[in-house]
Amino acid sequence: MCRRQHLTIMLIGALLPGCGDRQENPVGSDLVARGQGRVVELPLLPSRGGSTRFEGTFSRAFGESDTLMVGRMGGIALRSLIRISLDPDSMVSAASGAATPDVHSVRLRIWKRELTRGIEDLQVHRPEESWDELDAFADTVNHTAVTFASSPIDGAAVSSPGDSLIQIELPPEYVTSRMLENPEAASVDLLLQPAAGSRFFTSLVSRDDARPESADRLPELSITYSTGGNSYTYVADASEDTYWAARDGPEPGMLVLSTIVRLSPVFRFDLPDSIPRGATVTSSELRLNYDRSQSMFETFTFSVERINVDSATGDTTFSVVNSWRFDAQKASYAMDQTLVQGWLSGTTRNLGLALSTPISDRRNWNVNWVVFHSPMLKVIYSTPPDP
Amino acid sequence: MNRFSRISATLFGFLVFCALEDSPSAKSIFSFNGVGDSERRVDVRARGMGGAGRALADSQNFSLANPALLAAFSRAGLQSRFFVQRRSLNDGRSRHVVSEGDIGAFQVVLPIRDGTVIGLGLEPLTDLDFDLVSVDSTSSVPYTLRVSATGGIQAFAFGLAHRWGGFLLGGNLSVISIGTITETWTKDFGLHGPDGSVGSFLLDANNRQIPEFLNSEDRYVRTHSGAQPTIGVVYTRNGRWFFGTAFRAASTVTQTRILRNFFSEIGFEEETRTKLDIKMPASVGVGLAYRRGSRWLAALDFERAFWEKTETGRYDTTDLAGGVLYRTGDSDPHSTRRRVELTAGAYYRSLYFKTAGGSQIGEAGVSLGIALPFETRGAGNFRYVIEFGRRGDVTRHGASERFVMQTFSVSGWLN
Repeated sequence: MCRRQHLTIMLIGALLPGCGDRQENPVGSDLVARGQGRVVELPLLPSRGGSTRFEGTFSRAFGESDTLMVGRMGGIALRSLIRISLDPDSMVSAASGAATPDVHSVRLRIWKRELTRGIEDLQVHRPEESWDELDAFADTVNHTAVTFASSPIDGAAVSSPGDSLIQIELPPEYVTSRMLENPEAASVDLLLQPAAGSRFFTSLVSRDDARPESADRLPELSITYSTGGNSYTYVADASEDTYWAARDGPEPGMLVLSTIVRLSPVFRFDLPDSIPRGATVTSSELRLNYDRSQSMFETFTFSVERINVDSATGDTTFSVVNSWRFDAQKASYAMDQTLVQGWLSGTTRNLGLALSTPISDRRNWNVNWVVFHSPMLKVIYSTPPDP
Repeated sequence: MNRFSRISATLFGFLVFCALEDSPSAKSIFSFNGVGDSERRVDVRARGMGGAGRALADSQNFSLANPALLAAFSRAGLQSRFFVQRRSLNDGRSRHVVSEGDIGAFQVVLPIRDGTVIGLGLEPLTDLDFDLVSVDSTSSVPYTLRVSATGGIQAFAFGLAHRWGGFLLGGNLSVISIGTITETWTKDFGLHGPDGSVGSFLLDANNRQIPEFLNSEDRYVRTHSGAQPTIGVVYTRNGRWFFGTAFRAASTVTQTRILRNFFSEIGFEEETRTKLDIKMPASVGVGLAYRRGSRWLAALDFERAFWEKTETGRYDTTDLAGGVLYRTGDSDPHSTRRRVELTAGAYYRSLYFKTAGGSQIGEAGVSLGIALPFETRGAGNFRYVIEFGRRGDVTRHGASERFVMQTFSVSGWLN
């Protein structure tokens, strides 16, 4: 090997140590005399100026739902319709061809499902409009609930023997009149709705409830009648049933998030002035505590939205920040740190937040509502190091 | 291709190679506090002589410490350098080895008429290179802190010198307009779990990832503008004894400090800019050199820089260096044998940085060098210098480092 080759090899060998290594250096923490910036967890920030916005009613027919809902709670009123088709011929044949039977009592037995809130104050009305199970009871153009005319049935009495059974005693003449009006295809139509000023919610077993435990708990109408000195009992199942939800409030200041009747709480958080310029929001969480006694939900999805106002047109728009599945066991929902960072730096105006239930998610095609206490914001930020 | 073109091509290739590296020069664990480690403004040959050479006006000295040295050049010349360094760091708790490489100063010397020479160059004034990882478990949210700082203050150097017999007089202006210091501070909340997992992400209903804790990443970028003049004089008697002195004036440099956090890095929000004045110190240096025949050179230098006046807590610095040079071969200008230069030296210098213990940091080192001339005699040379040294003391300064630095340079002259 010649001298030049030796020299080349030596040079390459000498240069190699300069290639560097990128392993992190643990030596020298005492040499950092400057403050490295603090990590600050702010006390929970309470929301301000909360109210509930109505986004519209989502039209959905609940005729094939396995529940019926009745009540008034969280700014939503729920009404159920039940139709029991009668077979006058069958009643007459049971009475051995006698003339019009003499109805003594009419009783509708319906069972509650598990979901019940508040004190029940149920009213029984007579529907004064035609309906069927495919009705959505919503104006699909304006996204509002339609009005549905009804009148109280005088003499109807509601009782609740035991925990789960609801019995409705109807005046015999109500059934008799229905049979006389339409001897060939008589039916008993009932509207169950909450009394004015009441606040309760009851979930009822519908005729479509296919659960084994509901097999002998389907709505059932029994008519006791007599003819020719003999007494008979006629029993009929519901032939159609459905329910719908309509906006009914909520009360001022109440924060309600709901599906179908799409109520959207809006509120804002004022950030303290103590956060220094240049700080980085490392964590932001929305704390949502809700009132169990006033809420009813199963699984649904909600979005956290930033409220924007177009400075030119004044139009209000909403930008989705994050979406979460509402969880009964969970109070905290993380939010993209950019949201609070934007407020902090002034990149975006702090006009508040809205919670919304996107109708694109099939989980939101059932009735749910949640009544919140004052939402809170948890913010952790990091300050920049000393200059 | 003529000789100068070959030299230019070599230098150009060398610079391209050097440009792949990130920042100029000395690199020390102590460089984080302040504006970086101050550069010793000597050329590679002087480094091989321990850093001495402020008076050695022999037409081969590219040192910027004394601008009067320019006046000794009778031919155009240029020099560039590159170094690699390996440092062993120790803070009493742990040890770590760092390897790095960088470009150094680049200088061009142009005699414009008899006795008058101008010099142009790219000159690193300070250098900063620091990185650290440590865990802060005292915070409400524990995190791993990562600090990385690189860069330095650099200048375009413009020099003018003239020779009157045995007197050489020169001035130099370092125009500080390039070079940035970049510090990145990262608080990493995604602490590594025992299973190697890193942090956690939350997945929202739209399958959008949200980091449970967003790491903070604060970056200070500091740019500088200003100028710092230096004047120097060398007196030589019979070309055997050389005495030189140089004075660099204190100056005020405007530092623009730009703070960018993670969100301004991605363009989401505005960065924060502030301007402030920082002071660069005055310094005075003296040197003595002796040439014996065509084979031996010896030099001894002393420099004092007045850093105390630039910021409370800093220390004035002293640089004391001495070295010898031996040239092999035949001094006959008609000889075809190439002459190899061998150098050796030692130095001690103190550093200006504030320390927690109130004790000034010292650096001591020795150097060895060799210069191999190009095949064409007098066209230039390739020089290699290796330095060994130590900075700081664990007990008094919180850390120490041993270093081995190798410097490579290419110099060329045009007849």
